Amino acid sequence: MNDMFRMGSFLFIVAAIAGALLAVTESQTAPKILENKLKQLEHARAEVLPLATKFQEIKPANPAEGLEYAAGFAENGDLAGIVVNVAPKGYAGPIEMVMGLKADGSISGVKILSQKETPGLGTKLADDVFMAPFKKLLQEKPKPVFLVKQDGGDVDGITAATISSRAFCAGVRDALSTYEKIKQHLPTLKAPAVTPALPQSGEIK
Amino acid sequence: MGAELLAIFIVAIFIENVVLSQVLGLCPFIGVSSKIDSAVGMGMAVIFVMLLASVVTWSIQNFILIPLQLEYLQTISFILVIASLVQFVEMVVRKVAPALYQSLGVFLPLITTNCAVLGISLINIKRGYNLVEATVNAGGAGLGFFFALLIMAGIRERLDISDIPENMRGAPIAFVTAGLLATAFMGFSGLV
Amino acid sequence: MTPIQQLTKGFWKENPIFVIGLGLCPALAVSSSLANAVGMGIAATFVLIGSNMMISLLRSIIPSKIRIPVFIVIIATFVTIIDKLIAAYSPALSASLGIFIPLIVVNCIILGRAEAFANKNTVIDSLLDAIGMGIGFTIALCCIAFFRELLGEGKLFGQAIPFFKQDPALIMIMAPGGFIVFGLLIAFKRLMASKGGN
Repeated sequence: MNDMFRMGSFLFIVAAIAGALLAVTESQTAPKILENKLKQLEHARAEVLPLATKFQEIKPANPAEGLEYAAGFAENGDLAGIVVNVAPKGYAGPIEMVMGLKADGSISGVKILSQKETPGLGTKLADDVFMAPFKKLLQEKPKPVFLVKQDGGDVDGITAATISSRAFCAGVRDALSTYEKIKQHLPTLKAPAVTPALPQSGEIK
Repeated sequence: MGAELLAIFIVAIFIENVVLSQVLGLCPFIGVSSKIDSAVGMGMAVIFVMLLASVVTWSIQNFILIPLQLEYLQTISFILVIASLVQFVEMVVRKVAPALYQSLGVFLPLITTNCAVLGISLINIKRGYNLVEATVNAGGAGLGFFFALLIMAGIRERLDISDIPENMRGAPIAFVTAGLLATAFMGFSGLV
Repeated sequence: MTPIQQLTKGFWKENPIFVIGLGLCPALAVSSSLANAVGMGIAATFVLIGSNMMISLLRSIIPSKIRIPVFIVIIATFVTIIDKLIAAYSPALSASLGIFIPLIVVNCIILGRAEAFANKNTVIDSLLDAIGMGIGFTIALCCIAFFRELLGEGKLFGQAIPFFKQDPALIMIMAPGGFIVFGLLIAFKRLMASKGGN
């Protein structure tokens, strides 16, 4: 019994020291890790909605009113547009993308955040091979149909990665439909004084 | 709801097969795949421990670590819990079902260092699964491990009697075979 | 064994991956590019050095019946520290290594060295053993990654290599490529050993 107590207390002391060490590490690194995440988020937002400098996150009361989005405001406080995260189902899992829409509903930018598509085929979604023609399409055609050409739309899909291309188009349509659902609320939104800090434990998509 | 769970299950077994696609749990995959009998035993033990470990680690994460803001103790608490869980299961099985212990017993201690168990627990948390989804994912992953091990053991029993260059015998040919098997499993992507 | 031999035995002769066959999962999972291989190697070496020295230091006071749980606590502590440091100072590496950093805790090399070496040897010898094994692990990872990145992407450390960059064999950077390259490398290591009588 005595032996057991001795071993138990030894293990307890080791675990306590380990816990204390980790608490110190955590307190030293946590602010930096959060800062990295915020920077990454800001980076993505700035890329898809360059007009905006301040963001406010808005969560609709129920899913039927559209997805979560962030409203972006220009320096002078005018509404610049919204940023929506969508995750359409790709060939091998969700394709996480972020899309920026200007206040009038036109697309200002799309960025792929993470994907598990087949390397060299579906992953071309994030490359210029796919993105450059897509951006050109946005500039040239006022109301493009976001379906791949095989399905009767305007988007040039990637050869040998039709499912990935279709998923990308579905993501664009998801983001657009969110815009349609929430556009009547947009004029009522006011720019926040500063972008509110994100919750500590919330995972940033 | 049901359809989503089924999708998680199928994805976990085939598309994201723990061994052949996520490359987890290789030590037992190579070490215990030379005979079909032991492959079956190991596979069952992994399914069982993986299910249990996922439920327990999920509960620890959501009921203890998050409320107390101790997420940084995740790795240390998960591995300790899995290690003691395996010990505990071993004791219970020995007492309650000696026959089962005969067939599974030797494999249980090996599972502590099977990175697939800890890996799936971490993936469940990372993807933000709820308890039901986590359990289904763990069940699928365990079953995927079981299938991979069984197929591999079937192939290796035949490899034993074929004429293989001396330096390729054993582990090297096993890895090349696993590579071809993994290529075959890639055919499952796009299924869901 | 001289200190030099203590240090260098892990590089090739007792290479933890190719010869002893430990720590295979990270060896295959994160060896699709040289940058990941080096990152993983450094992280594992850090944990090995920390845990080997700590365990060697405490070897006379750890009760032998509970040594494995104590080892696990010590290893998990170092793993969490390196995990947080990488997340804070190299977010890109943290993103590409993902759950394989926390999984260092179940890497058999580390527990294996703790049990087989650090528990019985002096701090200095354990330090040399840890550095040697860590470098051996990194060398093995880089060998695998060299072939996978070159053949699968036509690049080395992200730099395109002429000739290889045309039509790279994509399968090499996916899971099957890892298995096949690794199998062939072990066979090659055996061939060398049998030729050299070593």
